[in-house]
Amino acid sequence: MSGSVLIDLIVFGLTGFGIFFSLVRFLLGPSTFERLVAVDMMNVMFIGVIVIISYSFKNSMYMDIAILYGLLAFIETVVFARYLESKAGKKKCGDEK
Amino acid sequence: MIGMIREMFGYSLIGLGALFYFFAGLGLLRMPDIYTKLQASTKATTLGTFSIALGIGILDFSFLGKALLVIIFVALTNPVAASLMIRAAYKNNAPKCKETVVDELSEQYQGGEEK
Repeated sequence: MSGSVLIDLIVFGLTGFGIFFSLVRFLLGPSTFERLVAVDMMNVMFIGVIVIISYSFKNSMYMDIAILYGLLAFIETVVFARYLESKAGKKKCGDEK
Repeated sequence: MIGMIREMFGYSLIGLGALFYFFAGLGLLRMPDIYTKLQASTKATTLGTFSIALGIGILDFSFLGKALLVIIFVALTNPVAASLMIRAAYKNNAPKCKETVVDELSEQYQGGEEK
């Protein structure tokens, strides 16, 4: 990214550890919601990584890819959240019967 | 001179964003229940993305317009997604940690069903 190796190491190291911790939470999360939260947070971190890559390659086309990726990630999160919410209501109706 | 100050400012903003990403991952890994996990990680990743995009826009002014677009987009979508996820978790009676003091929403919802 920059000329200095130290700045690259700090930036990509910290971002990589953040993504790695989210991945660990995704793998051993106790419930579905924690996995969903971990995937959403990883997607937002990937937006930041794509923005850094666009500066690193000096090509502002990657910014459009970041926006599109964010849009698709948002739709994915909304669909999964609505689905889990509707499942909660149905389970309640089944319990009442 | 001006260019050097601009580079220092941009790189420190990017480093701050990366630090916020690290803390978001740490909060997601170590917090006790789903509510605190989501609170720790959503706010930190939103601010981290703001900071990284603004830093890139300051480093190269031809990227500033699209960086502002990314910032507006994340500011619009990330809180909405977090609110939807936490409402789904609450309606499914996700377990709370032992240290929970007050749950004001339990008056409005009872067992996942709206009163």
